[in-house]
Amino acid sequence: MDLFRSIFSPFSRSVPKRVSGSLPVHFAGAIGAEWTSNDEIYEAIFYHDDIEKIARFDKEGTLIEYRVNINPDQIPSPIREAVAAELEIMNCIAVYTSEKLNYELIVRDRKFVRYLLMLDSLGNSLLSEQL
Amino acid sequence: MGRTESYNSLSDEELVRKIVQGEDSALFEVLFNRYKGKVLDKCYSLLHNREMAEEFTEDILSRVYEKLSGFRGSSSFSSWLYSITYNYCIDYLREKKKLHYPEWNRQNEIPEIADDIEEDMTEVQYSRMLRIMDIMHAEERAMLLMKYKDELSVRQIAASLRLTEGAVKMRIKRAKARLVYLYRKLYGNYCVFSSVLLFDRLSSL
Repeated sequence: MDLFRSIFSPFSRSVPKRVSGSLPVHFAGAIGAEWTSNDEIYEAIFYHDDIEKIARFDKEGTLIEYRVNINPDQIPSPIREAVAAELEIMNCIAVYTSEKLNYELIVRDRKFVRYLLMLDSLGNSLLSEQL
Repeated sequence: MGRTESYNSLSDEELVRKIVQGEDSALFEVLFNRYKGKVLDKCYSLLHNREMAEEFTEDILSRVYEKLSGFRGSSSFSSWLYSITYNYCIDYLREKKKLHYPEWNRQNEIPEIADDIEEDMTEVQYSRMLRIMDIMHAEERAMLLMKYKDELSVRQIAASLRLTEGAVKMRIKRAKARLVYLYRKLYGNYCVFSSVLLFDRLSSL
């Protein structure tokens, strides 16, 4: 029984109200938020418009960045086209900061070797490494 | 008393240190006996095949013995061993069984995301939850077990399953949402279908 109690027990990390209150300001209708914190950065993972999102706030409740899970059939064309044809996209996350939008992709080749790709919004490669 | 039984009181890490320092490689028998059942359970929970799970357990523990000098002690020995176990099983399922999580997820979208998980899911029936876990995708099942049963960190899970930390967090979130959705669909008060019939249908997914 411990396994399921652990899965469903309320997360006990205390989050300052100015931080937790910032979530619905930026993501109206967000549900199921679970919070973690580290070095005065608070992170919420939640559903918003039926999509998984992760938002990071500072201790004042300022949104630092957020990440959005992208369904494979909704990956923007420049991103899809930037990935070599022999690679299969296994996961795509849009990473928004105040200044830019990047994409974090997990791809695999025909031998099932997996890579992390970071692309800017135009599809230019920022990082490529084997996972 | 057997040759290694006097070492049963030593911690995992002490045993590893003695083996790596060349004191007695037979000490691995103690670790083997300590973890064989746990590794077997994990393999079976992912493979659903007893014979294969036993074969994998032998392979994994052999591999662990060969890699013992690479154990740095940055996590517990058990976490390290379990990471290797899940990696071994999931890699097999991905490559040999063509397990394809993105495609499966696309075909099995969750129609309703619940917002009140914490209010009424703490008293769930264990046997029902296990049945639902069994019909979930092996990668989702593995992530829930890694995070909530074996208490591996997100970083360890990401490294083991060759994902990014962001992807792990989102997939665990989705796995929990699916668990709740399926439980309520099958066993909730508003369930209008025969649980058995629906379960059979889901089992074929």
